[in-house]
Amino acid sequence: MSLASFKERVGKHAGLALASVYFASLVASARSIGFGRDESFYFSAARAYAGWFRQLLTSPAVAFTRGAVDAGWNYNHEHPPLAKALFAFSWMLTEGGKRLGVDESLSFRLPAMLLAAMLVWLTHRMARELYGDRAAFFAAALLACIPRLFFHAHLACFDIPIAAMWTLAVYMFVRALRAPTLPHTLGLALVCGLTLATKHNAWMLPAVFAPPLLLRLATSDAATRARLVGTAFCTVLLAPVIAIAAWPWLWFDTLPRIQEYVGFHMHHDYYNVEYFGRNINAAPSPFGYAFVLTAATVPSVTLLLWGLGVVRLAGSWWGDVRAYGARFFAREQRFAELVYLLAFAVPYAAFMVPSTPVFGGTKHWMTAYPFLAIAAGYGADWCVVHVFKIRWFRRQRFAFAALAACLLAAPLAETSHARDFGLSNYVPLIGGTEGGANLGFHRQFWGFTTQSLAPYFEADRARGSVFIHDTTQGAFTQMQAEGRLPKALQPSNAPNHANYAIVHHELHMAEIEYNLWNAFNSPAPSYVLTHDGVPIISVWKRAKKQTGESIKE
Amino acid sequence: MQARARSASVRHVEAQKAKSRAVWLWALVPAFGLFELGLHVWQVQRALTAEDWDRAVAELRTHIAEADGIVVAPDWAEPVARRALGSLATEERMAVADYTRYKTVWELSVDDATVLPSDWLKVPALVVTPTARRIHVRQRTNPTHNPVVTDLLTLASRGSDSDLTVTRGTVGAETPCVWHRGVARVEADHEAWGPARGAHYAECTDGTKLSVQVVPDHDWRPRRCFLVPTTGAGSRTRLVFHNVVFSGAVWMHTGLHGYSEDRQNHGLDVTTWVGLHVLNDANEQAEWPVGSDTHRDGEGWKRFEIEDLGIAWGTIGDLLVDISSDASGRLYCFEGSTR
Repeated sequence: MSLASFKERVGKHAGLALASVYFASLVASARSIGFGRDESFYFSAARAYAGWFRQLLTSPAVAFTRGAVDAGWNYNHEHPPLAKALFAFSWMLTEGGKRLGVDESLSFRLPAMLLAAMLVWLTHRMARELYGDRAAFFAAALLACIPRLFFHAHLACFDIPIAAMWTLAVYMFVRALRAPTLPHTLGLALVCGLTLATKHNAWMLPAVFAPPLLLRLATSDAATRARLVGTAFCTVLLAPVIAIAAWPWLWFDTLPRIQEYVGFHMHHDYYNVEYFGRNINAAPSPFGYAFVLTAATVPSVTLLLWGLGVVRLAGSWWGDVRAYGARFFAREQRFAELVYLLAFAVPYAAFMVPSTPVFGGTKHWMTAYPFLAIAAGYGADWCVVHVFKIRWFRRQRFAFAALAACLLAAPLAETSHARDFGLSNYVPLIGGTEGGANLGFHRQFWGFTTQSLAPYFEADRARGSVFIHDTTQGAFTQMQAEGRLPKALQPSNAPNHANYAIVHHELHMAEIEYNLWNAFNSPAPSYVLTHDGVPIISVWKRAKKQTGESIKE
Repeated sequence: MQARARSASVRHVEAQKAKSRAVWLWALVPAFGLFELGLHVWQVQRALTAEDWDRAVAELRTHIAEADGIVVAPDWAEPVARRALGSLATEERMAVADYTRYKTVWELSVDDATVLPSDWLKVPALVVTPTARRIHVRQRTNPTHNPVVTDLLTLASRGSDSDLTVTRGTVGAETPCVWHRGVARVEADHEAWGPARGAHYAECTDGTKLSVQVVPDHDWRPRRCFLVPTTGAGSRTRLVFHNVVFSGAVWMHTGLHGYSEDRQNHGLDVTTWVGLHVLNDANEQAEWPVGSDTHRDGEGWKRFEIEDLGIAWGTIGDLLVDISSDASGRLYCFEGSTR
């Protein structure tokens, strides 16, 4: 095998290798990350769906009745079903993880982890098609080393599945417009339908697709134009049908239920987020909110490379504009770049609209990150090209490995360090976790950090009841069932009689904290869980005498 | 000819040299990557631990007097500081209305952070420990100390009609609230949302329970105050504090519970009227208004001062506080003192 063909092979399979390593590291670290409140709802939904799937196998005629469909699919119907159905399949196939000898929760989480790995692979593939092996390697690696994305990639939630499906839909769109054949068209319609069935971010896809489609229509010959119109119509007609077909809850009272689903998300604004020391829980989003949090949470070297990639891209576009004039988008590479640029910009643009509520944080624009990573990979490639012009550097052995290590070490270290406290992580340039606290940025949501109290509870030989507030009872008992938290503790939502009480440090939870001062007769907690010195959870422990007084009353 | 060619060649070589020097600028990109890594490692290494706080508080314990205040900066560090402070972390110290009442405040400061007003910083601090790693323990002296003569919250927290009489209802037909003694608790024993209740509370005929407690203000800071949910148009809550020693002024701090204060400023105002009981010419007790204040949404925790009471220094008597609003259920909270 020649060196060139070996390099070609390595380049081709690097995406798969990176995706495999990513999946393996997700599985390996899954046990250290507790369950967030939303995740516990999706565990329950997956179990309910699994019940319906079993019924479908045993008595299909009954399964299709309205009663059976509603019984199986009504729970958590404010969110589309695809991801939860995948969690259910995984849970059924692995018999709740027993077949693989893993936690039950991991059996729910596996599909999202696989989709995360697919996202890394797909990012590599898209970057490779445009910019070659080196850019593709950096794009995939830089995406994998975004701390918040790595955290969310562990969870049986929708944020990584929608990022993967969004990216796949965009990729399929580029392919379908490059060659509007029937298989490409049907593939696009199928993926768009499944994306609609994953999360409501999919509603923004038309904003990505429409401008390039119109541009292509304007610059194509009549025959191509007819095929493009066919592709567009087919997608617009089929995608919603596929989404409805994939969502049994919509099979009955279809229109009112679609209205209910849309209405829920149009008015679902009750999210609390701390931003520059203010608690915001209603529209409008502060101007620049998404950009500021991206800068604060995506490793700075990644953003620097992204900036270089954008500059390099602008230079290439300017060269093509001068060479081809208005028809420069007819070039396939430029066309794909335009689509990817829109797929990056649209999720951010949503947060520029005044009526957009402040959602819970970075996860809502993670659909943009694969495209950010592609541009960063392009920038990294540009950097390598120029650094290799330095004769001294070029002469060193393992020069590329050393350069790659310089570019990737910080994102890798930050991602690895933030693992159990992914939502508390902020980049070193703003001071890390402590810098985030100094600036008044949120430290967490969903109450998933409760699991990190296990060493304290074990050392204290904790028993009795523990007041929890952000962690759901379902999440708590699941953590106990899997040996992540002591079984001797009973979760409680009654602080006055609890033996222990915990408060997750979020600004809007201050009321609960001060109430616990009252219920436990002291502002001094017994224990404070910290990450890099910053308080994450405070625990109050009741003295035996206090419990007696409370019960007497 | 030859000279021109040589000059062109020199120019070319110079340009090449400049280009090869410029290419070194690209090395700044991987260097930035290493810088970010170094910064990350340094930040993780210097993160404060519980032991750091214990050491700083051990130093503080040897110096602090009962009347001294404590302030932690930055404020996100308060929970870890409170854990280390233990019994030193009283509600009075941790949920203070303002620092003017303290002659001395001990500051636990991470990396020289401070949350004290700027006039405090003009007086040089006595640094007790230069650093317990990054925590500085400093003694700060109040440049404008304004000592408390009678603290209304002290009277309210005793839970007795002889210290504080509470009536509530339609103006002129208020009914008395009855004091109970129990244990402090979260009022809604479910999920801990909603106001708490102090150990001693006044229960009114409409079921409302009034007590001293700690509530989050507009900025979610803890404030120890007397919580008085408003009663609505045409009615009021009247509080009569007995045996108040009057000095030069009455200072009050008022605010609404963080969830009650409408951030869009749509909530209705709450008015606080303050008066005294004095003997009139007919030797009967009469009400003598001395001041009032209206709290508007968005103002947050604020102070109002009544400077001229028109009575002799050291007079002991009743202080009347009426709280009213056109909206019912607004979670109004206040503290006050004579100074």
